[in-house]
Amino acid sequence: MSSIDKIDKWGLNYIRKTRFYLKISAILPIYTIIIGIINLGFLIYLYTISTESHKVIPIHGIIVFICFISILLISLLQFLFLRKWNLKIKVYNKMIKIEKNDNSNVLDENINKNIKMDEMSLTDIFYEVINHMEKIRKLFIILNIFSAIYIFYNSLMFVRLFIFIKKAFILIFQTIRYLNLSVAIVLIIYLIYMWHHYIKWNKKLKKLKNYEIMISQELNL
Amino acid sequence: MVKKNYRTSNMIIQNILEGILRENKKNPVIQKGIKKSHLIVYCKLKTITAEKYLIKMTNAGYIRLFEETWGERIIKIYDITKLGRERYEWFVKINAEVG
Repeated sequence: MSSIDKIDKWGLNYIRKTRFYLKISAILPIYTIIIGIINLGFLIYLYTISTESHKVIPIHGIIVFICFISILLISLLQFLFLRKWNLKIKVYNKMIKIEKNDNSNVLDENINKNIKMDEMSLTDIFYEVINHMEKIRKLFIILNIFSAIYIFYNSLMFVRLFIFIKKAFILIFQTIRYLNLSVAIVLIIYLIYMWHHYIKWNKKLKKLKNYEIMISQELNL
Repeated sequence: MVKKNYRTSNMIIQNILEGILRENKKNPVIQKGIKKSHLIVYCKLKTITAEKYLIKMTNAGYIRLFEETWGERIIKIYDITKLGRERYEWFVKINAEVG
């Protein structure tokens, strides 16, 4: 196996791992959008039918809503970046396939022409994700703060609303309570998963920084 | 500021190393190295910037320069050295292994 084949293999293995991460990253935004719409409908309905809920809903509701939107935006941003990155990887994969075809003299000129236009290197792909890691690391701290507030107020609000629900004892209210509980659980799982990545990214960025310093010293930059 | 400079320089260096490796892969039997002009196009660099890095990389022993005659013209060709190959493999390994 040639050096570049080995490098391509490592690169593609990494890309495969990141694709799984992309799928996981899609779960939270999709899930929170669905639950958010249900919640909004539920809160408006509750507000209209119960005067007691007027004391609880505005303050807690606004806090939960702000946190909810922030979490949604950050997770959506993360997902959209990975999606964009994934599309570039598809082009890179095609490029590698064409290189293989070049070697075995099986060449489709039309495909080759299209790919040459968007030619990109493994270095570009790696550096794009590295730059993203550095940005998302800062956003991740904000995500944690919003998530903590969200989980706390969401639980508090629905414990308090339980009083009204008990009075009304309607099945739909119970279902919504559990759906909201599930958002908190999904959010906690998502955060654990993100923390796991955060630690790994920190290690990688540290190694990369040392590597970059070493190269700069060797080249006398 | 310093960190950003490291980043930009390293991106260029890794792209140059990858460009040579890819060109070598295209025709491993006949071809050894890549023409300077092709390498500059591959890395999407300005000639003056590319030359600065190519000189530094040659001096550091990452790449080597040799000349070939093509009719009346002399073509400059760059090839990767063992050290350059090791450095690029190292870069990919850091990226591929963790996270």
